[in-house]
Amino acid sequence: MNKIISQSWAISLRDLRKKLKWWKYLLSLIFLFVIIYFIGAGIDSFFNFSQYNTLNLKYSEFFSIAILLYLSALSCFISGIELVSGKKGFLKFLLVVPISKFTILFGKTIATIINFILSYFVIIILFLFIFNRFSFVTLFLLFLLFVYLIFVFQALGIWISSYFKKYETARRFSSYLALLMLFFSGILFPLDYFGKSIMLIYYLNPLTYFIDLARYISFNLGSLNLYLDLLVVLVFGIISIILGTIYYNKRIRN
Amino acid sequence: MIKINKLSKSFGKIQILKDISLNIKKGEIFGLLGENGAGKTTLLMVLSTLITPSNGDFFIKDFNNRKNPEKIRENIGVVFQELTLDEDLTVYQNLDIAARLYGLKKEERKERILFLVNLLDLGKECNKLVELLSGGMKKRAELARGLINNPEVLFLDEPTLSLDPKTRNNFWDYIKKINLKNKTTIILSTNYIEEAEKLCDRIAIIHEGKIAKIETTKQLKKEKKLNLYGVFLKYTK
Repeated sequence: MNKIISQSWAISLRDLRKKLKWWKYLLSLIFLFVIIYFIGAGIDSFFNFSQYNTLNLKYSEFFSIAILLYLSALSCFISGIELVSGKKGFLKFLLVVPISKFTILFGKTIATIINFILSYFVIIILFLFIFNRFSFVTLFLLFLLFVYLIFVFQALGIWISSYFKKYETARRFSSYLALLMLFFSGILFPLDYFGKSIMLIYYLNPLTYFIDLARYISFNLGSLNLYLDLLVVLVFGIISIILGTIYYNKRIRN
Repeated sequence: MIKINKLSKSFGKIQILKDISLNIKKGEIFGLLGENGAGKTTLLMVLSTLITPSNGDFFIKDFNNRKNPEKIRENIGVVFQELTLDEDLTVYQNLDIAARLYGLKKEERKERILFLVNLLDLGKECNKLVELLSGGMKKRAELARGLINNPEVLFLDEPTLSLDPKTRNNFWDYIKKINLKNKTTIILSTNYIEEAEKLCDRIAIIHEGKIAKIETTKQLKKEKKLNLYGVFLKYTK
């Protein structure tokens, strides 16, 4: 057990040392906050968004938490792809070290969670204060949802990358998928803005339900039924994690 | 130290290694000499447990690759052909992370890193980012990481590829030093004849996935009354 913990921590530490150079971290934190805040506040100032959506939220509220959730999902998805497809560099070295494949996965996931807390969750807390929606229950539930999302989308990345022989092709595919997820998950516009044919794409996109659930937690308002959100998030998440684990097992030392 | 029994490896329909059998003694520097695509790297990757063989098996220190791959990994070090260090970390950070992965405690880590830094003259470069190092220095840092767990067997995959002659010569001195100081068994793949000649106690000439000849370097030259280049050409026709 001790060995697993120290090895996982070594992997996490490596990822954190690479990603979290303090000045880069601080810059990206400020940059991300300013961008999201100004887009939201900018649209708030000239557009009475609440008239056009059934949620009765300001655009800045509607947009901010959702875009952070989307960014977290995307970075976990890419980290999942890298975990099995990019067998170069450090991963190649890891495979000749006496370490179990699940310790590698565990270490990578811890790094992703810590990275998420430092890069996105700090901004989420700031937004909850700005919108006067801060409570410890909200914060705790949002944290649980985001950690669950990390596991689900990392697993999804592993699973989807198993269909691609080359890492580069998997990355290219992920950028198309990212675009699709951005526009068809209710991050930018409420679901009821669109016609029925497009709504079908929304309903088929699992991220839609994660985002709706995050809005329920943050603002007690959502576009869909809360129980439907919970059901889809749980079922889709569990299936993704199972498939991701199976494919990870197959791919990592193959 | 290493016993290989009828090892084969295929990727789809292409057979890369064909029935390789050989024994390597403790403390030996063993060379795998062959043309590009002969199967040297594949053999090293199989022996380092990075890829599983299609047929056959091998033992390192009595540990079988199919039954105890973890035990094998504890006893080996690998220096890959390409750079596998993190370029955006310092040499020290790279070594520290590798040491943690092998379960070395804080004091042991410091001691081991210091030992390797001195052994391979990396002192000045220790706190520099890997991306700022020259090709030769990067290779030396890779070598240090390969030795972090004090392995009994060290695999070097074309370690001096793309290094200039002077740096290559220096690197050979370090390999000899490691072999002498720690009695480390070294398996080295190369396509440089002079590298094999200068470093190796024995050489296996690999041609199209098979071992064409195994002999001591001296014996190879004596037997055919040729220089090693002539012997190499003879067995890789």
